Amino acid sequence: MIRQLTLTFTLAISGMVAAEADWTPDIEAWNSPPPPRPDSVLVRNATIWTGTDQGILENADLLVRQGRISAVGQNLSAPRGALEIDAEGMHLTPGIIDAHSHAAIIGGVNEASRISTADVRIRDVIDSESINIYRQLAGGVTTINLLHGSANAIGGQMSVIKLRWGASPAELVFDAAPEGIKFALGENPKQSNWRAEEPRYPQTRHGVEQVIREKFQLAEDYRHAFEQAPRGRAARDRVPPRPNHELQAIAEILRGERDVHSHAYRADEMLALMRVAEQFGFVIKTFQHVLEGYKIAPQMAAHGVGGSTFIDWWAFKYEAIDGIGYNPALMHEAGVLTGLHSDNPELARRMNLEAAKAVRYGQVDPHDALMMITAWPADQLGIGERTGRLAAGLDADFVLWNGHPLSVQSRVEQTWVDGRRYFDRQADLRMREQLDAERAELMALALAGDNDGNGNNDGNNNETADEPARRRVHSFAAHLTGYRASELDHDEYCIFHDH
Amino acid sequence: MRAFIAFCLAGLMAPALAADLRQPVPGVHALIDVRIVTAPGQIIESGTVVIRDGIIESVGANIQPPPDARIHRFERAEGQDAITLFPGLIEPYLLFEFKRASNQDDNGDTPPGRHELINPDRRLQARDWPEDRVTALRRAGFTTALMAADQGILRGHGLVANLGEGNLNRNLIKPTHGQFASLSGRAEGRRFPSSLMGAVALFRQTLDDARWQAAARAAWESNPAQPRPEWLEGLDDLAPALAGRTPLVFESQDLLDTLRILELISDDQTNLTIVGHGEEYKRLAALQQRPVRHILPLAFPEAPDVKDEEDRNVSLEALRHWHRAPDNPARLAEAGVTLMLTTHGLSQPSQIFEQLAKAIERGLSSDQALAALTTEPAAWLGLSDRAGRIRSGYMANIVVVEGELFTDSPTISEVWVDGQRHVLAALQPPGVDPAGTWSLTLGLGGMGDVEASLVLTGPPTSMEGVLTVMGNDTPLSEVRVSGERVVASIDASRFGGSGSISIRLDIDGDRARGNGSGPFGEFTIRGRRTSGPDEEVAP
Repeated sequence: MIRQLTLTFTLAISGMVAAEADWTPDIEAWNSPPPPRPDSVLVRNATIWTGTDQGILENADLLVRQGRISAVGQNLSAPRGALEIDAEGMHLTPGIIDAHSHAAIIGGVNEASRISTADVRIRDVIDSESINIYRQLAGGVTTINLLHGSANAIGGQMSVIKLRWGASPAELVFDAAPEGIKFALGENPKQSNWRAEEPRYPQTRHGVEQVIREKFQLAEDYRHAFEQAPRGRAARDRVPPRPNHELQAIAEILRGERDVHSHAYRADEMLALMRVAEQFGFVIKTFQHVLEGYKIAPQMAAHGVGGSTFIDWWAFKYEAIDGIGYNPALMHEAGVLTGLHSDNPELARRMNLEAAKAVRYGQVDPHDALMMITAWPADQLGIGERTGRLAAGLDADFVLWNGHPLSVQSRVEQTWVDGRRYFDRQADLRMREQLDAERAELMALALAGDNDGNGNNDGNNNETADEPARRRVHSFAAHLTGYRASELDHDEYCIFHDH
Repeated sequence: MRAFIAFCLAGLMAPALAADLRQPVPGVHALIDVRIVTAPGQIIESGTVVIRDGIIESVGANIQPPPDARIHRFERAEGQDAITLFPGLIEPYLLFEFKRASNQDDNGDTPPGRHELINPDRRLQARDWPEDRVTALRRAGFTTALMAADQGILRGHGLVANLGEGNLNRNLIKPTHGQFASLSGRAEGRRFPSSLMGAVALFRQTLDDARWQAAARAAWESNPAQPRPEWLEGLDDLAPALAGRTPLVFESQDLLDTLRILELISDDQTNLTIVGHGEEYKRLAALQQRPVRHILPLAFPEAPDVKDEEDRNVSLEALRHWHRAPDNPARLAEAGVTLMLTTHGLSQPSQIFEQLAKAIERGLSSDQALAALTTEPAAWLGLSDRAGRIRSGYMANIVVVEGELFTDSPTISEVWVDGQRHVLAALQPPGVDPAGTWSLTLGLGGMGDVEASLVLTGPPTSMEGVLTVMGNDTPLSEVRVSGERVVASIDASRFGGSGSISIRLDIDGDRARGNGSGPFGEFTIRGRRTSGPDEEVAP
């Protein structure tokens, strides 16, 4: 088996154009060149999990042209000059979509001050340099939804990015994704598990509901003020209404221009938020975590809200005690658009196993289980027309696995985004060799104490006495969690658990 | 370290300074027979500068000093470097904490209606004059600076002043220049903003509020028959920056912050200047596309300490940055970015020269470096007609250097500000040859005596030395012979301190007596020469 794989790869690589074969990523994003985008790519003889009505196709081919999927089917012919990959024995799935992530945010995941921070934007703080991006590519993830934390009832504006390792924050943003915003219900916004110096209103679940209702009312008034304001010539010498970015964002929800993705655990508060939304004439896009979704799945389906959940994280706090592994299966059966998310940069590297657990709990059909981490989260984020499935016209975001994608023994061989191979095991191995050599070279320079860096340290030595200890703790924590030490600096309470 | 010696020497020489004698100060000076770098790339190999009442009257190779001028002739010994005059350096980013945030009352409370981090109306006042910072900068050859507060997100107006003696009243050039900003500000406790994205949101809202206020007030002024708009204190002061009449000086914290600022300030109207972070080389494309003027710090990372096996757990990222950081200024210049350099981020302004030497070794030309410290900031500050060059009609801001300015440790002997002479290290030609091995006793006061030996080699005009204390050999980072005195300094980090230890020894034949001072305190030195110069070491 191993020999066969090696052979497959040798053949695959020998078929590549030169630039393809040479491309090597780097451990630092800014130094990582974009992989080339072949005009056309033909993956042959794979077991293709389409994420569509076609289900799983054996011995099938996938044709990519100009970064988009051109065809999925049997016996496709390769255009002239196409990069051909023989995927005999391999499985091909859509790229994984993680609808709940904080993996590439810098300077704090929560603006934990006010009860509503609708004016803050994750778009401003995308951490394009986070190694999480590369690591998650290695787990087959191609798109993630960067969400604000859950410290407040109305959190910040989210940002959906594609994992184009090496790109700048602006280039990471998935332009097709509709605008969205994080809401949160329950223990976090009402400050159950953290003590503020000055307690913040509200301190109860019904207080959270009241705050949200009031903000919608204010936003409606705000929108009204702008709509009533004179325009054109009539606006001359008239005091214009004062812009307010917080109410502006909330007003966009009311106009249907911004989706609400709300952190929630308990059934009662989810019902309450759906009622508020219905009163203001819009639909909640998803509940995030939604551990008690199974209790109200019919009501969720009727409202039209999606459920984005953990498969087996439960009982980690009081409001999570009623979580069950069957939640995704039950929501799915009731007709809720159901997805599985990571909420954790480490877990995000093995989302395929989260899908596998949905088969274990509730006997979800394996193809449906895979759709819970691909097509359906894509639909929840409003990007299902662009990614999350393997069908003609969609972005060429796909993953080649060396075996069944729901098996613990399988691993990702290649991850493609926009028709570019952003992760490739062979390239990764090449990179490791290069990095070792570079490190040895730099270490020798440092040991030689060459003049260009051997300055005395009075340039920037203003650490306080406990700084080294703090940094050690943080670098250890950063190592464990995949967050940068600088992020841990700013985020005091909710980085290690749920958001 | 140079500044430290300078400080010691200046202290000793104080009685010779005209200013301190309180006598009528001659206002007319002629600095004769000197090499003059009048501007980057423009050199008069031997010429004269005439200064009258703080202004440069004439500059040239064939200038006859006026009869009323005090003549300054710079004696130097055989082999000593030429005395060169450079234009006074300009620091475009001197930040410090203003004594009290203008928007707070005596209890530190913020009045209603404004945010504690938003202070566009803050101005430097006479009581804030940073005497110590001014002195330190002047000793490093700086004669003019743009000063601003370091607190908050919108930090207020900058102010341009010369770095002469006296206070703000005497040195002020421009009462306002620039509006200062940074996204590093956070509110204390759990108040807004507690995160970076919160700081960005606050900044963005404030800019919109200021634009709204301008429009709303104007509308109400011309049409009072409508409700009067709320007035937001302080925001009117943002108008000049928003209209591009004065620069918005934005301090970037890191690589991503620069990209963030470029996106945040993307209109054509704002006159954006970014204060850099040193990692610009990493994502240069954005700056190639939009070469925004930069004020660049030179705080290159220190070499990672990898002497011991267990210290080698240093990341590849850190190693790379240590290795590549000195490339940064040259890379930015190549990208077409207009550069100004700053001592911001260095613990002492004089350290800029050691860092600059590294940057020049990596491709920044000396002319680019000089322009980034003189003509560029002068132009940016609107002072091209009076600062940044040695030219007639300009302010008499001049640095007198023995040899070149851009070396690890230039010998700045005088700094003239507004025609006022500041003697830093009036080095005399060597009057003794102290080469040889000296046996010294360091008297540490209550802690007893320590034996040490000092080996000095080379000719008196370019000596090197090694001090051996308790079996440890420590090279002197600097040795100079001035008259009968040896002045030396040692990097204090070799003894676990910061800064430098300076030593002064008066030589009398084979006997030496003097003192030293450093981060650990003062000590006395006495000793004698035990052997002459080592023949093998001397060339």
